[in-house]
Amino acid sequence: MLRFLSIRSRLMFVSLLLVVSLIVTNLVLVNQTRIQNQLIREQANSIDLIVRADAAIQTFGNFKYWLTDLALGQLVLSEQKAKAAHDRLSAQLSDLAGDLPDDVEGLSEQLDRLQENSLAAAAAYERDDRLVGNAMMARGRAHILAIDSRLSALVEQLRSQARRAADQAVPRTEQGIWAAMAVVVVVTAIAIVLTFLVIHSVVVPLRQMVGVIHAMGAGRMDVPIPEGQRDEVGEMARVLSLYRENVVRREQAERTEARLREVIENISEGFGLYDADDRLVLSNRHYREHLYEQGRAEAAELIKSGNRFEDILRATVESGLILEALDDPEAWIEKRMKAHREPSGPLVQQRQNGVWMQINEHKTADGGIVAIFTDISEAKRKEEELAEKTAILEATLENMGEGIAMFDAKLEMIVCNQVYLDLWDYRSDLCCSGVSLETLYRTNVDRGEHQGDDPEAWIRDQIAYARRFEPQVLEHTRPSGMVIEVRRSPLPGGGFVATYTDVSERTRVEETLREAVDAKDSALAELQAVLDAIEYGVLFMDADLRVRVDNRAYRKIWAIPDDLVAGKPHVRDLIEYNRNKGLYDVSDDAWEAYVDSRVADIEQGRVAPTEFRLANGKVVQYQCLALPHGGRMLTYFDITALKQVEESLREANRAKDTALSELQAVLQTIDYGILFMDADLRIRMHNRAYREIWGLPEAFFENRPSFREDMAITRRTNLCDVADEEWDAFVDRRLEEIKNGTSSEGEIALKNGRILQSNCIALPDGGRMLTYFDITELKRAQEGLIQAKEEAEVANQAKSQFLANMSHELRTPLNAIIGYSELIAEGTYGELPERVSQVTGRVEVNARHLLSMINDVLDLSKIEAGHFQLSLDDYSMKEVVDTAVASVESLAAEKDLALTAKVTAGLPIGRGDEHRISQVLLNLLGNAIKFTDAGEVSVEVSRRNGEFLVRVCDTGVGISEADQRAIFEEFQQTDNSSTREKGGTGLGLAIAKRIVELHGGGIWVESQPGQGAVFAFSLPVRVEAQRETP
Amino acid sequence: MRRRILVVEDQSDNRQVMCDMLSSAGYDVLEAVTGEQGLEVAQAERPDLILMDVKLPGVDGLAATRRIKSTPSLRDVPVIIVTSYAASDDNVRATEAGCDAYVSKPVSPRHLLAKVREFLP
Repeated sequence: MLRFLSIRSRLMFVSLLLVVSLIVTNLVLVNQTRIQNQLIREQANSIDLIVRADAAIQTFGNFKYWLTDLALGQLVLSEQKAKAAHDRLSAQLSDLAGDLPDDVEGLSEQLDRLQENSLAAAAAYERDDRLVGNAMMARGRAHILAIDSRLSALVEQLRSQARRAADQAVPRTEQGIWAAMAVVVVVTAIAIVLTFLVIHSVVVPLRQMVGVIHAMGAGRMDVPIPEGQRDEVGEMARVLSLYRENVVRREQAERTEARLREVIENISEGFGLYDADDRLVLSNRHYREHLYEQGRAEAAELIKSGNRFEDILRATVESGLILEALDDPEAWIEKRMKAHREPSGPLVQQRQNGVWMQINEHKTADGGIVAIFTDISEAKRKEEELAEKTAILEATLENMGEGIAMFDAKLEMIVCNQVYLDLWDYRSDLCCSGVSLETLYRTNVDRGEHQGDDPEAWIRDQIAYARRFEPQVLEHTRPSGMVIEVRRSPLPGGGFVATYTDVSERTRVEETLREAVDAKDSALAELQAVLDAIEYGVLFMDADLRVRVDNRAYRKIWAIPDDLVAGKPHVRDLIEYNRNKGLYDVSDDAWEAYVDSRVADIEQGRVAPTEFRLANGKVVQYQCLALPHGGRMLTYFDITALKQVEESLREANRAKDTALSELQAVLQTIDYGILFMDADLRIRMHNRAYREIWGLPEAFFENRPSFREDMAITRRTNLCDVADEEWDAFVDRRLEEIKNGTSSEGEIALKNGRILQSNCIALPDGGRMLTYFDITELKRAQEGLIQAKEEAEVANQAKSQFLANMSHELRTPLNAIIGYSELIAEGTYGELPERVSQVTGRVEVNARHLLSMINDVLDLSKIEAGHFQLSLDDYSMKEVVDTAVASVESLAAEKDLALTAKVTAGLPIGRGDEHRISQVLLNLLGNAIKFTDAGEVSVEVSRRNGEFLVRVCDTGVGISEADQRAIFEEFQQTDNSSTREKGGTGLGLAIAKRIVELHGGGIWVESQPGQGAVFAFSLPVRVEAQRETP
Repeated sequence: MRRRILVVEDQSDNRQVMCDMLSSAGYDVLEAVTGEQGLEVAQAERPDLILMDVKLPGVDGLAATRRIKSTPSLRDVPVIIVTSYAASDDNVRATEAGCDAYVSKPVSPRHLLAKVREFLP
């Protein structure tokens, strides 16, 4: 709020505030003093009353004394004294009456009674009437007592009043003093705070302002000036801003001027600025160069700022630079000076060096002059050229026979010639440069040269068409019948130039001609259309044997391009063209003669229909006819397709005949009874087998009998197992089935024991084919086979069971043999002689061998009987291999064979029958060791395609290819000698194969005799279910 | 005190081999020829271990084992079944019958002893 007051107002406000606070405190203090005064006065009053009351009591004492004295002494003096005392007392009481009227009145009354009684007593005593005197005295004493008590009560009352007033006055005074002090303090505080605020509101902006002034003094113009307030400091801020703006603007102006000077220095024109005294202020390089020639130092010397124009001009003229000043320099200078002082337009000067200079001078606002020198030599030269060309153009235009007009991009006329005006009947004042095309069209419309309904639309269309600025040709027929041909050519920058020609005569001739040509053309076109429509190639030639007319079919047959026949070639050219395409099968030597004969034929005018077989396989029928005016007509017809159809028809017929005879032969030979019927179920064809099956005589089929008749004979021969009463229904059903094609393959048992397989097949022509095949023998063989198979299976089962039982029975005694042998060998039954011990060892070895053979037989019999169960569980292939290798190590060591195992690291845990897989691997390892005499046996296990691949490689005798196939079969070994030599049942591999296959894997051998063998088997890593026995 | 083993086996040679083997290894051997006899001896003598052949006349080894295992006084006696090689599901059936272990024929003395020593150390 303070900001909106001026600083003076603020100071005045502070002064006023201080004065007011002073007055207020004074008033409060004065008031307080007055209240004190009043209290003091009241106190004084009370004291005065008490004093006076005391005085009245004293006086009453005197009065009492004197009255008593009077009564006793009867002295006059006493009476006087009493009276005086009474008067005085009355006066004192009346004095008190002002303040205590009620008390005083009662007292005065008592006092008067006292006095009466006292006087009466005195009078009685004086009369010695003592009795009365005593009575009066007694009364008087009663009054005295009353007055005494009253007076003392009064005094007491006054005293207590005074005490009460004093008691009240003390707190009031204290209260007043505190209130006054509080007011003084508050007012003083407010005054101080407001004074501080006012001074602060003045000092802070002032300090800022001083800072800004210092900064600006130091050249920092971007220092922020505080927000302008409405006080004196704000005024200062605004003044400072203005000052700064001024400074900034001046700097900008200086920069602008510097730039301007630079621009002026570099513009292509010469620039000179003279002040009001005509002294050069500013000039640029071009200006200086335009005023003097290079090397004329005296002129150059003069062209400096501060020199007068006239001096500069004179030096320039003297340098001889200005051609027109050469004759009379003084006069020219005078003229030039005049023009300089009052510039009225551009001056053009030709310079000695051939330069044309255009000088533009203008007065400036301050009375100076600006001069611009422009080198217009080039423009001058072009102007001259243009003038020359324009003259030529105009002459040309005027002398042309055609009307010419040129329109610019706005479709306004640039120029036209007289012929144009004449052709259109335009007045030359109407039609001149600048007139718009639209105005011209409108003139035409106004003259009635447009007959349409909507002239405005017509004009719009015409203008829009013209505005395309493209080559255009249009015709305009004037009412006089004159036809004007307008040819427009676009101009580079828009607009167009148009020529106008009176083509009335030409149009008429053309019209007539066109009608004639149209008539001929339409006839020809119709002819051509007809010719093009037909498939016959037609070629019309004139008497010179050149092509006149041809048609589409001709060009197509001979594959002749359109442009070749369009050139009206000679028939020789055509033949030559076709030769080049290799259409004629004529040798080079014979060619000339061939062409001559062809041409001669045509010249002769009649060639009967002839067939050409072209080299490309086409067959063309060719004919030539002479025409009345000496021309020739050649016709060609492409009969290739026709020929091909003929040929294939012949071929087909031949093939059909052959096929039919072959079919017939086959039909008669086969034992398959076949019957062909037409759609009406009459028998078309049959074969021998059919006759024999149904016992029909050949003669029966001679007259296309119906199938119903056929069945009638069948009834007589009693072949069908149908009761008599059902026969008709049976025949109807059979015929219906055959007719509908619902009869399908089935078997018919005849009464003679034969069994037929019959079928009905629908033929494409609606006919039916019935087939009967005697399958009696087949059936019997089949039944026999099934029975044999069942018997064999039962026998096999029995064999397997027998083997299983046998094996078990065999094992029981073996068990005992082995057990005893071991116990004997261990010395359970006592020490043995060396020889016996050896023999016992052989017994055990042989017993074990026998046991393993029995186990093999047992395994195989279980597999055969389907009792072989895999016990599937997780296993480690590495452990299987390690265990197997460990258990055959001693065997390999006996034969000095190296035994190695190579198992790929990180194989997954497999699932399968570990015991059986071990059995397979042991078998392979055992075989490998058994059949290897030297070298090594190795096991390799890897993972391939999600399967374990186990390879057992040896360097043994190897296996021939023939044996490789057999060894996996039961009871097979490579040769009997080795079996005898090496031992074994020959069942091991067969069992291994079955075990691997039950796991879903495969086993195989890779070997050549003498080169060792590799037995390998693959196993799925995880076998979740046993495979069916194959 | 010497441990007592009951051998139930109908085939006398095989029984003899087992008895010889066990007695030479320091066990007392009790013998039984049939399943019924095996049960009687077991109840009467309460051996420390029973070797039971599967294929016995009358009550076979599996049934005898089931009965032993359902007799409270014999329930804790270990039974080792000697299975036949002829039927591959013998092992399964032996386990189902409640035996404590099984060995397959032909019984190698060393193998059988090792098994026995698992129960009678």
